[in-house]
Amino acid sequence: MKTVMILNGSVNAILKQAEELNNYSIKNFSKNSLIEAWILTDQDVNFNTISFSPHINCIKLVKVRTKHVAEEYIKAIIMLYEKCKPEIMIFGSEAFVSGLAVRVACRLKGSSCVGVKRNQYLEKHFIVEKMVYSNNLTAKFIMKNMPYCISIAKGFNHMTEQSSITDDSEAYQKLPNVETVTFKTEVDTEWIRSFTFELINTEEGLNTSKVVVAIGKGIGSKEKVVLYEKLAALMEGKLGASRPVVMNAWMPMERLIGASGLIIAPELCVAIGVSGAAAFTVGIEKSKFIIAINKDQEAPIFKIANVAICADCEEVAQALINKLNGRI
Amino acid sequence: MNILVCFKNVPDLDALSVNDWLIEDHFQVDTSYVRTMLNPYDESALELTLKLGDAEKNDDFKLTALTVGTSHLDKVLKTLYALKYDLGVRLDCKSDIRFNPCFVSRMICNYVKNIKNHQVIILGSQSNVGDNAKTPLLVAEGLGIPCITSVIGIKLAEQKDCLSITSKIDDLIIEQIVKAPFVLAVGDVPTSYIRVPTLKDRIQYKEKEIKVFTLEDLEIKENDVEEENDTQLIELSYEKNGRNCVFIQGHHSSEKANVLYKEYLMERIK
Repeated sequence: MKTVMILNGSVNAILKQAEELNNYSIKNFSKNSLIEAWILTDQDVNFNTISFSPHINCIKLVKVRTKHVAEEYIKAIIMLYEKCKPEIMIFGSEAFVSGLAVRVACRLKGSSCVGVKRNQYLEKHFIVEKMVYSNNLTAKFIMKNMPYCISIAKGFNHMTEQSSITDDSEAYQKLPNVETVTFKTEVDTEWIRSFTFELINTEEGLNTSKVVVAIGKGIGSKEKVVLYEKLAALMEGKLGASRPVVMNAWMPMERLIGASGLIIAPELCVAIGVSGAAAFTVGIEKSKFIIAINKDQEAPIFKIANVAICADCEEVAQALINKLNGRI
Repeated sequence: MNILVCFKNVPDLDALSVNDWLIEDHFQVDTSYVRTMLNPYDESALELTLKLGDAEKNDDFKLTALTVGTSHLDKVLKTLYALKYDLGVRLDCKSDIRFNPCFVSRMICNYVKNIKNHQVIILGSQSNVGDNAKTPLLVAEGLGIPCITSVIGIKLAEQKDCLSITSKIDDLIIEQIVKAPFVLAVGDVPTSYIRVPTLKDRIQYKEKEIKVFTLEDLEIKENDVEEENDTQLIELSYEKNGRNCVFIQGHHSSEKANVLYKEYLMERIK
């Protein structure tokens, strides 16, 4: 089936998008499958920094005027669709691009699905698999109408299966042929009276750190966060948090781990005061080794931990800090 | 300005234990014994809109709260009345719409087109059970109006019929002054828990009528429910690959921490 993957080149995260989509295609498409990459961008793209999986046989580059007007991106994708008529269109996991998947499918009378983990073509049906019920259950859906527009689940940048070739540079090919496509993608933006952009100063490294301390509401209060910052720093790790912690503004949103935040895969994750709701555990379950500290013996977090302490979080954290200080 | 906030009441799925996840006929999961709550994204949408109302003194500023489902949702709408929502609307529906955002969005669109127009329609980005993350986008498409996703802030703007919207795309924060009509999909907004109504207001608005509209009122046929859907659920399963957790024993916290450090932590943080 003719397949394309669609990247938003207007943001710095294009490298992460490419990595996610590469890994998704490697996991879900046979070696012989050929996939086009469509990059929509309002800026120049440095192709030397982006890796493309062996599936990618062609890159189509479309210039758009704006970074943020979804209607313009939709128009460009539909114009490109009319030219190439792909049957499967794969979008990244970020909310802006997953929104494009839904709206493009709607306009083309196709089907859409957000957060897809796996796809297969079985008995003339295109079937997708995704998490539902807040990451507690897995659902399989038949997508009824072509084109099938899917946005992939978060976390494909941390593939642990053998099929991942993320670190195998030889498996990646040289830059495929890049074709610049020019369309009149302008849409009416009269409804936008003015706009400004600001780049968020994201905490570097939470996504790539080998050690992460993840705190939950069980730590008690905002004032206690500094204790866990100290613990993370002594372990040369980074501090992340569950949704209740960031929703209470104890920590910034950029530190959120879980279904609506970062999916991490460190060597060591120490989850402290986290109950273990499925929407959080999906964010740490790819960690190599998980230590859970919680005073509630029944907390679900213990089910995904390798080692656990059932005790007061602050007492354990303080004792660990003393030990780590003694080490220095 | 006329604002419509669409919300969903959802079961607190965190309250279910491993043994509670039983898949019954027609892919049903019994969650009736856990408490229900406002979907967190919708809760943020409802509270952000109330804050707009706090700041707006114009009498033309009207807030409507809308939900889809059966009469058990009326008590939630009454609470929203007590919080000064001007109108509570329920689109009556008994069908299984968990994985059918196409149908839900059609109901909302038909309400806006046929019954009462609204300049701004605000919804949460996603809600549990279905986790479809499609409804706000499909509402925008159904009405042919723009949609801003991952909204984290809504403020009044000086220009007529305009709002100041803050949203996110990856590591970009975008502030825009936008003119209605448009749809907003609210994302993660810190400290946006909905306020609690006073007892006096609860009593005062207890009898206020909820506007209920049937599928017929919306000019939708019952048979359209499944036809409308662009996907078909064929399997629902529960699988958890847990780890064999070793609990560290000890008389007190520092003793347990000592064992953790020596046996598990030290070698991993060299």
